[in-house]
Amino acid sequence: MGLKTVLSVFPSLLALICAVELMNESGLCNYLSDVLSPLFSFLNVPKELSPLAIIRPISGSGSTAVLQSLMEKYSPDSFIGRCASIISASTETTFYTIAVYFGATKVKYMRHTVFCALLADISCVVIGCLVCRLFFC
Amino acid sequence: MINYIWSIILCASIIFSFISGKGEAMSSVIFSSVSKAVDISITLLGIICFWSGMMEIAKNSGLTKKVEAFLRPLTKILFPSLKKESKALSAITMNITANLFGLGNAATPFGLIAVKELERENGFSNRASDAMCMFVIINTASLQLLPTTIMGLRSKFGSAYPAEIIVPVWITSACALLIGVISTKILERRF
Repeated sequence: MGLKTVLSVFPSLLALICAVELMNESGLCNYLSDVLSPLFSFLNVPKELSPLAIIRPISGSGSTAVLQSLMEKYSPDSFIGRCASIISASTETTFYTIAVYFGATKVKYMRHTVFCALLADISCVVIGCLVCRLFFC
Repeated sequence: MINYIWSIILCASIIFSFISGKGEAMSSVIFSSVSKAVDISITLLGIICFWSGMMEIAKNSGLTKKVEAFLRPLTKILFPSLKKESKALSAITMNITANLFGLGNAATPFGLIAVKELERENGFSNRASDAMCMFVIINTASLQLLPTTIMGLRSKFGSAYPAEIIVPVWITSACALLIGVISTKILERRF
């Protein structure tokens, strides 16, 4: 049963990892966070956090790397460091979860899943910054 | 649909890499990511076998039934289509419990069992059922009592109070989860 499950998950896992690594390596990720930073500042999210917000739903190891560099640069007890910790802890690697669970099934039509999951991720970033202001400022 | 997402990301990355002049790095990235996928799958295989056995033990000892009854009011609201004796329900319960206690690598095998059961109850259709969507959404939001990994990172980088983020994390993840669940409940009628 274990072997069967892993085999059924493997293709989507492979696609996910290839896509994520290529996206990181090609600089598309940085470009996206530059493009989307006005949106984040509109939502009251500091622009330093936009790379984290972009990569958090896509790659677990990638977002840990971003979190570490943010903590190194601003210290974990700064506003940025606290916000980054809260955002990282409050959400999962959305695309990995979707790829693994739906990859194990024959489902092709996932309906509203991606939209709702990303909505939850965006609200997590916005609410995380809000709660951080309430608690520490 | 997820296939479209991957294709778009792949094409966009490759085009972008040529624009930014990193074209030759791409093939090596493809090789390294393929071996990474194999690595992860082999680890996953071991984890699934181990935790499937643990789940059998929990089931036979009656632990699953107790936790199931305890979480029943919640699962009734989230998964109204599942009957009380559904096999998927016990796997979902174990998955939620493992997530709560931060056992991420135990949550995945339970979740895979749950999603396969849900698929069977859905008649192996290629259209996801309401319960499947809800289950995946809950798993994409993190429900964790103690964010130990992040706390560890904070203390590594010299935080004076690594644990001060716990309550804000509870509030944030609960709100995000609530938004995810409510939007799922609204949208499942329209899609």
